[in-house]
Amino acid sequence: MSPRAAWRLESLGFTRVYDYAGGKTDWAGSGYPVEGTHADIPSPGSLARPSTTCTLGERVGDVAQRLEKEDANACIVTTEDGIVLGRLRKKHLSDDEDRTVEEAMEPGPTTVRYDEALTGLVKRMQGAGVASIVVTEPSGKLIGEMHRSDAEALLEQVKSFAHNHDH
Amino acid sequence: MQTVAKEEVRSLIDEGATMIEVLPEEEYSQQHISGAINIPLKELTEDKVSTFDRSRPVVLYCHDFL
Repeated sequence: MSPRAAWRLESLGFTRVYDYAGGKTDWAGSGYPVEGTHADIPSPGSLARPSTTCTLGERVGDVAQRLEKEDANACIVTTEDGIVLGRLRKKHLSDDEDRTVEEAMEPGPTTVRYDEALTGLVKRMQGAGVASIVVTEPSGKLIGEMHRSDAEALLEQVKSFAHNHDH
Repeated sequence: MQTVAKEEVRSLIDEGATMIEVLPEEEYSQQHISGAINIPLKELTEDKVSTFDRSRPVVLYCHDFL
């Protein structure tokens, strides 16, 4: 739709016309500011915390040091462009520090899109006993990790806010 | 017309670009990029943009690639 609008503007004499193909889905999913009546409904993308990341060719020993330094339990393995490839958990770091991340990682971790409905997601995480989940853009690019406890606390706040305004 | 990614959109906003959402009014009012105005595609007429500075950058968007 927006390319058609862009051509239309050019035909009306505008000289600097740009089509933002990713649109508001891409924008909101990246955590950039939005406005509107639905702008404040929380989503996994808005709750995601930055992750510790590493790439396939790195030494496991180097990653272990980084995890220690950042007090993190896992490292998300990505391409240079940030596309999620795997996860390397602290507990899976072996004695062989010279192995590469590619050899040691668990490939293809479960991910969710930044705009997935939060309530249903939290229920599924509770059912599966999952404490955190990797959140990505539609392209598979890492946004961060959403901790279930953050989502539960937020949903509780939303619930009590709605309750107080009903009475 | 040039297709741009979000990083370029941010630079264009810093430069004073006009952001236009071309979706229907109801969808715009639910959620839109901060600072964007709404001109649904069907209403994008010469009259509607007659007061705009034609040399200033204009960024158009809808939902996503679809």
